[in-house]
Amino acid sequence: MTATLELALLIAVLGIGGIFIFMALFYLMIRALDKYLPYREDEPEGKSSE
Amino acid sequence: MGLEQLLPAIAGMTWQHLVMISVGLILIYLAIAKNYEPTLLLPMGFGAILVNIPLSSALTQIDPATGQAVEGVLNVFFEAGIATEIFPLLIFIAIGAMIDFSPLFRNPSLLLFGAAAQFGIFLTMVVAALMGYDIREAASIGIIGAADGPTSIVVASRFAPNLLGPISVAAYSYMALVPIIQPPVIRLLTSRKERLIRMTGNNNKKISKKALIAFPIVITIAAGIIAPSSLALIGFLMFGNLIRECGVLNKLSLSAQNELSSLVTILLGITIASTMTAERFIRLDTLFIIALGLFAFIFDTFGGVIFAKFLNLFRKEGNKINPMVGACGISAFPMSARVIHQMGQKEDPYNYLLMPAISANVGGQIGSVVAGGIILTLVPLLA
Repeated sequence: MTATLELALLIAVLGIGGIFIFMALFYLMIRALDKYLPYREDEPEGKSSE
Repeated sequence: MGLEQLLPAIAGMTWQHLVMISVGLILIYLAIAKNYEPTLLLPMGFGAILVNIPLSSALTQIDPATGQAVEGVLNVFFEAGIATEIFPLLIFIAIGAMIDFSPLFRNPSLLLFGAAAQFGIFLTMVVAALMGYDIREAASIGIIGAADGPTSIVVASRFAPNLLGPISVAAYSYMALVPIIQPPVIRLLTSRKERLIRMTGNNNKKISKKALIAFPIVITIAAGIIAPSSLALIGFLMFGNLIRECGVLNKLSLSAQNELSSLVTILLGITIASTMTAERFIRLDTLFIIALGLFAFIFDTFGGVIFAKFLNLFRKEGNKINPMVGACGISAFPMSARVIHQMGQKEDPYNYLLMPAISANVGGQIGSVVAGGIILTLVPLLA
């Protein structure tokens, strides 16, 4: 196994793991925002601006 | 005086130039007749013609009389807009202004498919390394699997500017070919029973405006703290989204979605074409890169579908995920979601997968940018 291939495998493993960590974090943030900033009847719905 | 002295471009014309002019014509044909990513493929096709006519003043040439370089406009654009990453980053503002993140708030767990469907990027990087490319080139080839043109351009322009032309052509071509690439892969990996799974979700849930405004700010801060190298990509995307959601910059939001996007896309397409010269493009590498790009797209789809099947092992009957939705974790928006919805309706006309598919697809838009940021962080760190 060449050094480049070893490095590619390492980056692949860390990269896939990293993306899942990022997305899991974003998931938690969405849940937190949804919990602490819930939709109220008296506010306009969060829709696109166009 | 012979014709060759009168028209020196003819004397300088080689078969390689003619091949590249044909490539340009094919790209223009695909853009106009097949509607394949016309906003990018048409400028790239025309640019390919522009740079492959010998002595083209669009490229930097050496003046034979003075021996000095006369700068060509496309080289100036390249140095100003691509080498500095300004063009793709401006496109990210426009994309951010176009994205509505509310589907993610309705089905947040589908965000994870935006991670799973980046699998093809990393597998392709490993295969490219196996084929003898150095790690920077392999990473740039792998990022074609992000199904996200601007991310591919940012990574390739930083790590492998010599491969930017074929990587951009592959990225944008395959993005347009999602309806052809994804369905056979999905059918191969799923049973009819799985494709018939109906998904219920909070599709009508109302989302707070404050939450949608806070989202891009919170994500930018979190991404910046964890991986500062990814901040330009994610930050510009989120900046565009904040302009959209804040509610007080509607004019700017519309400008970003329309005028900014159109202007930068024109410049981006024709500038990338400056790398599509015969000397740089007619190589075996180009064929390998185009083949590896297809491989990346196939394994992105594989990653998303298999991850959905894996999650279904732990979910109760009636709460399972239709594995086809996993394939929407790529960045090609909304094409991938539309393809999956149509596939679902083909199996069962009363199965509406559009909303969950859109949620996963929006997750893919974030996932591809995160993947680009991670590669930009890891490669210099470990190489």
